[in-house]
Amino acid sequence: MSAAAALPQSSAQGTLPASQYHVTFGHAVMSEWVKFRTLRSTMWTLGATFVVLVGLAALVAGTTGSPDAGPNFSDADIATTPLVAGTGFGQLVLAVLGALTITGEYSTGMIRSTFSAVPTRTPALIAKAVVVVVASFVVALVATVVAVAIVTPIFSGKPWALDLGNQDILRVVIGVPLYLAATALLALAFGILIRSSAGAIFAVIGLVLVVGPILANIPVHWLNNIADYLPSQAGQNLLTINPTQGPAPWIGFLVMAAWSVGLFAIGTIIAKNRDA
Amino acid sequence: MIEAHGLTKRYGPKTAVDGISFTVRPGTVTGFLGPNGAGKSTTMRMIMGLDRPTAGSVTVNGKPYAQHRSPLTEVGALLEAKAVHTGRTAYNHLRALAATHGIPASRVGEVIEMTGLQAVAKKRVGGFSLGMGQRLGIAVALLGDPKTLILDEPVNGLDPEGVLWVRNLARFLASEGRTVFLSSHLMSEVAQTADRVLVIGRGKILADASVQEFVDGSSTKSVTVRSPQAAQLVELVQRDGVVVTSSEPGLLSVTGTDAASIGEAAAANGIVLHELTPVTSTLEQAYMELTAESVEYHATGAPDGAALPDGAATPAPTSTEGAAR
Repeated sequence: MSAAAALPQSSAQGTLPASQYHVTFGHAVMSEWVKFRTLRSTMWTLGATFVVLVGLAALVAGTTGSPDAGPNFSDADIATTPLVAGTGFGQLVLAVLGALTITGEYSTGMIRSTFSAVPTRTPALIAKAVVVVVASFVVALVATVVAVAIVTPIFSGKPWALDLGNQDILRVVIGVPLYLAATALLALAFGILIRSSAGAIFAVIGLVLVVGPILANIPVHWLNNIADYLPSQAGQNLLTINPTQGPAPWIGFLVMAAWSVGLFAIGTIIAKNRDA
Repeated sequence: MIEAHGLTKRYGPKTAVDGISFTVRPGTVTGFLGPNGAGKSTTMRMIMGLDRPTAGSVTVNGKPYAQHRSPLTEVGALLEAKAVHTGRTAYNHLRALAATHGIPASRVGEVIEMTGLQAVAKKRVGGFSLGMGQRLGIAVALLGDPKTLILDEPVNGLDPEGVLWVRNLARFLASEGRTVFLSSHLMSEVAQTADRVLVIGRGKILADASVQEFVDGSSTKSVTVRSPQAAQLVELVQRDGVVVTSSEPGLLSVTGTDAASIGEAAAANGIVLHELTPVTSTLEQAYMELTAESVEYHATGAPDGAALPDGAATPAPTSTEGAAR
């Protein structure tokens, strides 16, 4: 480094009139957006989400022959199956993204730079949530729209045509990105609370894939009821044409959103008061 | 201007910072000196609002750090090299932090140039050497063109050229009327950079003085005497308050009197002197003397004075703080 010994000739006193620059929520969002898009893990996880949602939709639609619909399985169910096929894997990938957004800062020490620049902390954390939720939602929405464009011609003319005029089908199309964005926020909240990448990812995946199914399968009625109101189980009713148990579709999504927002709020209060 | 009042931090039963009060003034470089584990970094983190004081308070430029609307233009801090996400490039790290205040990208370019990071700015920080990480940390500190700079061990990991650069930078920033507060566990570093020293040991302020006062206030002023008749000379100079030690035959180290009286006593009694040297204590000695009892970790069995620098520490905490005094 050749310039090492040189004095900073213009230490830029004067080039930066102090009063002009300050922390605003908009600036915090810009900062989090720069951070978000400049990590490779972001591109990998968002890319994987897109590929899985589109790829599985095409695969499932292409292999749907003459489905043997059960009593609770309507044509609308068949029509939307390709669209929700990728959500199982997509939610795991976005959970990793949501958790890493904050745990990556704790594990590297970056969090101290973040909280030095935005010492009230809350704007930085809310900005993170905004960026994670919006990015997850947009990528999942675009992927779902592409999936609809692929599935529609394959199913056209069949009894299970993908008809967006059907309220329930349209609800599922909008529901996929909403569900995935809520999952990413839930993971971010766990990340703030737990701070370790492995711990936060384990907690979210455990809650979604282990705790819910176990409670749902124990033949004890009130345990099953609790399972229905866990974030992932409640949220999945938004992706189901005719939910047979648990809350109604939009109520279910509100339950999930309440989990995500509630845990995020608790995490923010804790992070604001603990040593960074 | 940094003002601390009764600042205290406890971690469970351990008190890291023990009710310290001090003022760091603008236009000077103030060295924050203490052995490892003395509470320097904890104090700096509390100034930056990263750690919450157990008791007491600290303000920067009149307000607690977190209450400033424009914190990066008030205080720039290097709290530890590599408080940086390793997967991001130096440039993007600076861009992200600048964005929190709406500081333009042109300023990012300026601080990259000032810190000599042009060649590596587009590389990911994970591959940086300690020295490059340190330069990036300093670039972050300079980003908001702050009135106050807090630099925790800024020369750690820098090559000699880099050390000189940090020294000049600190002096230059202070000459512009800024407050510069830099910590080090190396007295020599502070001696060459700072106007004032704040010495901390075991969470307590041991000294708060100008560098000159600090040296003058030290009690170790000795005279080295070499004489073939050393034993005879000892009898002559020995009186109350005079301590004579000898590390080899014919060589004396005398404290409690001055070179003139030793020389006169020798001449009056016909004693031959081969050497008569007044030894003014250095800052390093003053510091070692002051912190000798407050060193957190003593290296056992190491030669005197080896207990201070990094790495020499054997985790054998001494239990009797100051009891030896």
